[in-house]
Amino acid sequence: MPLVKNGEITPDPWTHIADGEDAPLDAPIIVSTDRWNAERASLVHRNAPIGIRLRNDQLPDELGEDLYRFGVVAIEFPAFKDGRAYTQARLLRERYRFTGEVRAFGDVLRDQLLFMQRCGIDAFKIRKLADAEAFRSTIGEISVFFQPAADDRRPVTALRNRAVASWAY
Amino acid sequence: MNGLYLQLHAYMLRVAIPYGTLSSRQMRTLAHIARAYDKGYGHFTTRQNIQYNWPKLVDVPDLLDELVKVEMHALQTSGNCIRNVTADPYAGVAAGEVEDPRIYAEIIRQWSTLHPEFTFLPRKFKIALTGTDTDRAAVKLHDIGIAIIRDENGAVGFRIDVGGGQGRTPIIAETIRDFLPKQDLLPYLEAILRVYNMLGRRDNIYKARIKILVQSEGLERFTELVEEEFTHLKGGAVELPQAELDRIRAYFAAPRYETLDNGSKELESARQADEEFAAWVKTNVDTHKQPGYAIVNISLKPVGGIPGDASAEEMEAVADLADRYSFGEIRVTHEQNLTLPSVQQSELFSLWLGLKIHGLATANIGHAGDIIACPGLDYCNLANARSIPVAQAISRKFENIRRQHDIGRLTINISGCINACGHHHVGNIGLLGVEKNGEELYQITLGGRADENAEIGRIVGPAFSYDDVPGAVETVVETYLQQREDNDESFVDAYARLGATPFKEALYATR
Amino acid sequence: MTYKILTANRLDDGLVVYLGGAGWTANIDAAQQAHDDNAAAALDYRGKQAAMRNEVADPYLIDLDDEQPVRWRETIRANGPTVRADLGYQADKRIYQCTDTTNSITPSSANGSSSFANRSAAAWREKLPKTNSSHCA
Repeated sequence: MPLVKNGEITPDPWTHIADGEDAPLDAPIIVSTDRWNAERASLVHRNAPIGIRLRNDQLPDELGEDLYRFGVVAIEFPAFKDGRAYTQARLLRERYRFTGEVRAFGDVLRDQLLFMQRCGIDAFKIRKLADAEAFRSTIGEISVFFQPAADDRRPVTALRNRAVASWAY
Repeated sequence: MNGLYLQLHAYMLRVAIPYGTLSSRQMRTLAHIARAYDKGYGHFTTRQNIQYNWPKLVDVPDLLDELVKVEMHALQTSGNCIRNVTADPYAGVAAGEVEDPRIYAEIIRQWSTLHPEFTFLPRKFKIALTGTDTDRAAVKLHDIGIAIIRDENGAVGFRIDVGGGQGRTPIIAETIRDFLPKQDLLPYLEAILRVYNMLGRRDNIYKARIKILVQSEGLERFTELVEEEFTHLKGGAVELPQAELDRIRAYFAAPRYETLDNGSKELESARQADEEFAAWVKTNVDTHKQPGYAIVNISLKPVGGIPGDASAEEMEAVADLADRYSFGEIRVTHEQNLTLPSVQQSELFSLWLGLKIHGLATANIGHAGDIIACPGLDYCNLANARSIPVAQAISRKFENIRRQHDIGRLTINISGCINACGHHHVGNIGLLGVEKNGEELYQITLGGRADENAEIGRIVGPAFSYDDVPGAVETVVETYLQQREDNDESFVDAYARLGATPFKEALYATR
Repeated sequence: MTYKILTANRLDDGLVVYLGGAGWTANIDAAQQAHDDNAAAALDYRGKQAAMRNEVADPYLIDLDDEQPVRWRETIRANGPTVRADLGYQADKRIYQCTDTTNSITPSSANGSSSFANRSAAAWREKLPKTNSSHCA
């Protein structure tokens, strides 16, 4: 499953480690919150980067201050219709000011990529190669937005007011 | 979420009519689309939208392009997202209005359009607004209902209700916030939607609406969750600056009314002279806030007709009449009728003549002939029974306008399945079509109300067959006529006073 | 005698179709009949293949008894809305040529007892001609 980051398919430095699976000591790994809680003492002392995988019924505040230890937070779309991860992403970026990677995995399809990116997701494990290849054009399909989100795009109201403000000078 | 459904016979496309407001130009485009891409008609719905029943998939892109030319679309009229925001069809012209609800409906519409966080909610989400004490938008039956009110200092803000809805589990919304200051509207809605997005059930589509979450958490706990989230969002990026509010308000500025006195000699003499016209004025014309003007309701329920359907010719006739008499403005009501919001009282008679030519002058608004019926098993994939022919049969029974007027205000709502798109739960007389052993049966509920005193109707007894149900409805009405205190006691008030017993007796005594 | 046929909606225009021996047809009488489970499974398979090829949407098996659909809903699908004799396949079949047309413009005049709309499902099934001959009921 290709990983798209910065608009392009790129090799994935991270490895998802299932609960119960052995974790390599010196490679970047993503573990579940259960695993993190159970093995925190040893995981904290790893030399390699660590990432966390949230279930989509978990809220980021469960991680507390530990959130800022993680290089990546992986959030899941178990089915594309399950939109909880959009909220998780926005909370990570806007509430907790998480600056690491927020990656989407699961049923990640072309039609949802722009919504995901607007919510602050910056890495995508995309189901279909064709969707991954079309990432840039997909993101560019809509250019005007009506509401602020976690991205830095300015909604149309802000653009209008900025335009008005500039006339005043 | 693009409004296209596969129904029994063909595709159905639901076009959004934001808060039921249309220009004559837009109405002409809807008529053109009915002709060019459909079979010459459309259906106005209980959420102020329009549905086309026969578009071809291959034609839909061209159809949507035609809509775009008049600033219309079919976005978010399906799917688990925020749907069309509906409002009082008398917005901007009703007497006693605190503020025009269309202003805030438009603000919410923009904010909710392609909202990246709330496009995959547990289920669909419906919001309605009213600006007057009299609730013509059924706000208490919506996921979020908003009433524009004043606080004790006269400041304008909102009462926020949450968790109303019909369908399988009809529930009247509860008030989560007695008074919300204006600038907090969008942050507060984001808080509600966010709590719903995270906590709403996703395991069972029949338990996924926000009303279920409010019930299972309890209002107190649900309110805590929302208010907590709101503390983070208040004053933040989604809050609308006053300049933007004012800019949007300007779009809904009143038309250039003439300065007139209230009351009109032409109107009075026409009423004296023509009994039919007088009857129409009584039921179809309402008080306007501007002296000398009136609000006119156009009934899309001719005797024996299909409720809410309009042919392309009828749509064009309404567009022409709107241009001539109502500043080119038209509203769609959630009772499947149309409204011309601002007509000079002195021109009511000419307008009525114009409506009559096109069969659009049935004097039955809010009365027994003004039946609300979903498309039912004649069209809809979800239906168990037909609703339209039942509506037609009942309509014929109450054909006589004098009789309807004598009966007084009465709402009859028919749904062809438990999804309740006909809003039968809140009909004074509600009919729910079910299927049993290949036969269509209809369960009657009584005492429902969709207004500010919202009530869910109660089942009166065993269901009636397709052949018997029109007669049963007539029996219910006869019972009311026999038992009402006087001519001024409405059906729903009489039912509240009498209870179900006399109706049960009349319906089931001989069975 | 009950048997099964396969129905779906055509993808490009959404109209009701039935799976015949040679392909999809709008004529329910030309549908291929399945009189046992194997035959039904074969129809089902062909339907799924057609859906994968984007020819149809939502294929499913329905029961017929003596050439009439068992389910009222399928009778309506085969003919059109009961309240608009001028729409759907019934308009082409001309079964209801002699009945009054109930539409949204003209108020009902005749008692309409012969029209599709005013009959209960059972009464309608009883009176429906068994074949597509265009005669008045």
